[in-house]
Amino acid sequence: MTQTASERRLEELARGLGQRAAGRVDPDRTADAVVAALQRDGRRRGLGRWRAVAPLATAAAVMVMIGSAVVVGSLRQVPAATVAAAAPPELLDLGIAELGQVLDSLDAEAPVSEMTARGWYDLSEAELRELLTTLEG
Amino acid sequence: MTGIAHVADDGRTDAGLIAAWNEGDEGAARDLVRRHTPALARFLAGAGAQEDLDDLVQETFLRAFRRLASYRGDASFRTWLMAIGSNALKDAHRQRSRRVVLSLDGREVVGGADPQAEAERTEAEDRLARAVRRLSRMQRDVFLLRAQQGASYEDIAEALQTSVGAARVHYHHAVKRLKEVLA
Repeated sequence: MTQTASERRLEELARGLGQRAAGRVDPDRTADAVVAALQRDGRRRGLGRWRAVAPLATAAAVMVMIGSAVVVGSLRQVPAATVAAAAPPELLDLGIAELGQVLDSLDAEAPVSEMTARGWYDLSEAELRELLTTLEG
Repeated sequence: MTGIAHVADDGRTDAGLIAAWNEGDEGAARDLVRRHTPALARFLAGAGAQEDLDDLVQETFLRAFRRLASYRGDASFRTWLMAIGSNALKDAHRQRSRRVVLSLDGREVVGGADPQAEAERTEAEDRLARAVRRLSRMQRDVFLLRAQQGASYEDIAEALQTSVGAARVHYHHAVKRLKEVLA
């Protein structure tokens, strides 16, 4: 596409457009101002990021503390907790064989007593129920 | 006219400076600003910025740095910067109460061999400046990027998020209207 003379003149003028005004804008001063603003941005962003993260960090710390407490507590109560989970709710309905199975399934250290010391198979049905009830807590 | 790859005296390209800035090199940001300030200021002044030119140039750079992550490098950094400048100018005009935009960019006559020719040139530039400001925003931006900044249609299309064909049409219409004014 060939350019007409008036188009060439137009482009020539366009190249000079804004030249004088732009000459009054100091690149060094502009660079200083922009970098200073970016630094302020960075500081604000850093602070903002901390402000956003702080509640999450606090919540996470609290959760860790609660979780630790629960774990420690549960470790201390392993026998009772395990028994409670394993023991059927209505021991009275179970026969002696079923009671024995329940007791066998309790892979936990039962409170040492005169009864457990003897072995469950030596116990009567009533004694077994009493033992399991004890383990159930 | 082609896309313009800007390289500093130390050989660093815009892409290199952007990467350095992303690594935290403030000097790189400073170099980018220094490198593109004159062209950006000319573009904004041509598009209608006046006494707020300094502020607009700074605002444009700040917007550009804040959204640098979205710069994909499809358009040249300079053309992309000017598209951002055009938005900043539009926002500034929107915020400002309506006023007559006719005082042009300085009246001082630049010293030259032929004062009368210089005065005629200044008068023609003033008329062109007024006419450019009456173009639609897209026509104005395409015209300035092409005629004033020497950007390629491909570069313009990327920066202004339009097609190359549309950019050509906008330029054609802008030139037609401006020729009428200058005739």
